[in-house]
Amino acid sequence: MSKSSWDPKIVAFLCHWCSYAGADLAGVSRLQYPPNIRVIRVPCSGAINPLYIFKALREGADGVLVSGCHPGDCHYISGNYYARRKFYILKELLIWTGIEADRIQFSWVSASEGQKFSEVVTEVVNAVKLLGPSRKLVKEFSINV
Amino acid sequence: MKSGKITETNLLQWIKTQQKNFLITEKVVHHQPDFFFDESHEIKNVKEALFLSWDKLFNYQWENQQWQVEDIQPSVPSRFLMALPCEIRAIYEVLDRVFLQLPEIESAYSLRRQSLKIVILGCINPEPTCFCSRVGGNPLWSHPEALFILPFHDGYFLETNKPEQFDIIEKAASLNTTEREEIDNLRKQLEEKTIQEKLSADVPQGLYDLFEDEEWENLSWKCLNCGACTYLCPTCQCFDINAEGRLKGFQLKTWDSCMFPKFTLHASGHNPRPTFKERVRQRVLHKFSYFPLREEGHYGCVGCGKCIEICPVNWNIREVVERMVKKIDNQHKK
Amino acid sequence: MFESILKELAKKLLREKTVDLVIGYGSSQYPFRTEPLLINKEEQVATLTWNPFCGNNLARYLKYYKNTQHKIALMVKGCDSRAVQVLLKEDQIKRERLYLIGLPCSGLVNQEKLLKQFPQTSLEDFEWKESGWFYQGKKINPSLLLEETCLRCRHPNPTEYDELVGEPMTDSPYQVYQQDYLEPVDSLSAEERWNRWSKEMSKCIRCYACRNSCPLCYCQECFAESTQPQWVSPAPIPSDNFLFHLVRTMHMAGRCVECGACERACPVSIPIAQLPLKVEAIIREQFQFEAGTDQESTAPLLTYQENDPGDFIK
Repeated sequence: MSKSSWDPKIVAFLCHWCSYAGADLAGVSRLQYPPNIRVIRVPCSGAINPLYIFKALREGADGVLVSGCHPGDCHYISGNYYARRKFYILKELLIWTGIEADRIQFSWVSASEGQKFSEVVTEVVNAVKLLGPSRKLVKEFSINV
Repeated sequence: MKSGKITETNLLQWIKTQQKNFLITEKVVHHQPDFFFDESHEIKNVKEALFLSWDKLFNYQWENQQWQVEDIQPSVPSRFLMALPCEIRAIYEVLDRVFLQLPEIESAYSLRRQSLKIVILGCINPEPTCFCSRVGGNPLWSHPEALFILPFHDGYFLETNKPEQFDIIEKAASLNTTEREEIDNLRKQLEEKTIQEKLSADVPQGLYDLFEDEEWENLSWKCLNCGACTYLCPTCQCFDINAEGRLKGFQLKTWDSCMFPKFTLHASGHNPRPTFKERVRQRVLHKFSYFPLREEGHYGCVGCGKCIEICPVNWNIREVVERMVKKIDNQHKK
Repeated sequence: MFESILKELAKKLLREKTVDLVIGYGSSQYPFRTEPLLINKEEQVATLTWNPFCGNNLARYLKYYKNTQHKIALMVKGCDSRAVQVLLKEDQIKRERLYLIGLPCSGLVNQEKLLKQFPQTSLEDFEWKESGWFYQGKKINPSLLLEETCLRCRHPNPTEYDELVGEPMTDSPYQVYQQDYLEPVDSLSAEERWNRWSKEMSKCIRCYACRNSCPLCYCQECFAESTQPQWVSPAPIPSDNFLFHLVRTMHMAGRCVECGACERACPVSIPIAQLPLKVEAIIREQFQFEAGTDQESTAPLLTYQENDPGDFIK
């Protein structure tokens, strides 16, 4: 498989109230952005369990984007604050174990930021393209002694 | 039966030329670090050569409104396995009885078994955790189909009934009468020791009768219920089968452990072994009662002591069995 | 010398019915190994012991008594007492049911290091005095002898106890080693770090000894054994081994008391304690929180600040 024929698959966890609406706005406004993301709508960025992110990588996602409301604007008041702490620790842990920092990215995108959403996705897809296909946490039942 | 003695240099040379095909257990490396070369494979457990920690059974795919099933032929490179007598006994006395009695069921095991050439290194430095003679083994146990190696004088003694598999035997010089007598005496001594020390024949039934004894609770309390003992045990053979993949995938066989709580969880939600007591009791009885009762007195434990070495809470199967055996003896006295 | 004090104390607690059972360390038939010991009758104190090989975290056994009525006396080192505090905080057991026997600890001896650096030796050759370790009268570098997690100990004295047996230690006896445990990994490049962790994870056989020896892993069903949904398969493939440990580390974030029981339990010698220790170091630096040191502060993942680090978020 040549590198040029590979297109990254990015799983995007978007919070229903802000980021998902922002993505929707980007679509309605006909803003162009790379079609490499697969969206999963969650109620709040605080509801995202690190297990979901790891499962996505395990099943072959080349990158994961997690997006929520801006701090202070969470529909559930403080969900994104808890998320911010959790993701900080997760990110540091992943960097420390040698998993590429750019594979898992986070953003705050509000419901009115359709433009920002398309920019974020473009950035993420370009960053992941540079990293190449994900191999490190992909499940592989390859030959055993 | 061909036997003889060989210099250390020649033996090491032979192992070196075959190093890529040599599986050596950790216990052997501990006894003889020189036997391990860069391209040999060190394994922690003899099972890894025959009964892999995970294995694909067959591929399946939902196609044209039906399941297409495709058998998988395991790759069976011809290899040497070098281990101590206790570990090899686990193969001949336990694993073979389990997996080769019904050849249709475990074809992967039998294919791998046929292409495996076994080398037994006689044990001259038992650990404090060893107890092979208690369960019918001895430090110089060997099998005619395997190549037996024993450090002897300033070289090694070799013996095998399959010289065609082990060409090294051709390089062995014959023993003189004194040397032969020495080996024979040593073997006889150890065999007698085993006969004396082996657990008495009424232990399996005795343990079975102590099933409801309250002592099991005290003996099992500290067990963490991890799977370390079962995974490093050369005789433990429990496995789990899972389907990996929904409409397209393969059937996956993995090691499982009777120590895990979900091991006996029924689909109804009932678990006949809900606490540590039932599970620990099961482990002891399976090896020292159910298996020998079914297999004409052969124990399901070879006394290698690996479980005792690595148990985080020093749970000691030998101690547990000795304690219960004392109870059996006390009962008989009454 | 403290063993006789401990034995008398255990007998007294049982006799006076202050407690129903005592959980401590027992000696075994092997010279360098101890084991968890359950005492509910006075005659069982015979094998009670306390020495630098008492490596199990006994707070792990409290989960058996969560819903019973037993009063329990528990012997706790500094790290173990922190684990008990976290369990109290998480409402896993009530304080009134516990009688904590605090044991100030100068560190646990690593058996492999002992046999390698000091073969043919016995514990009597070693002495802890004047805040240092002495071998046959000569002061030695403790990194030749002690467990890696013990060299980084910041709480040698129990943080919560009903009775203390032994001389309290001056805090952080091994201050000088604090930074460098994780530094070998810190200093590598991303690829080198990955290679190092990959190699360690390929040894993992998924026996779950690390998880089961941890006092803070008390879930009835672990995510690793969940089949609906299945997060990791039971097969010890490298990706799933790594995932198991990464997720377990995330579950321990802000809760790990850095006792090292996981690393000591591992049958294939993976330095697994490095993962939660790194996360705890991050949390100490950023959120100024240490698990199990007091009952007031909120766990770091249950609270937030306006100025939490967020530069990594677009």
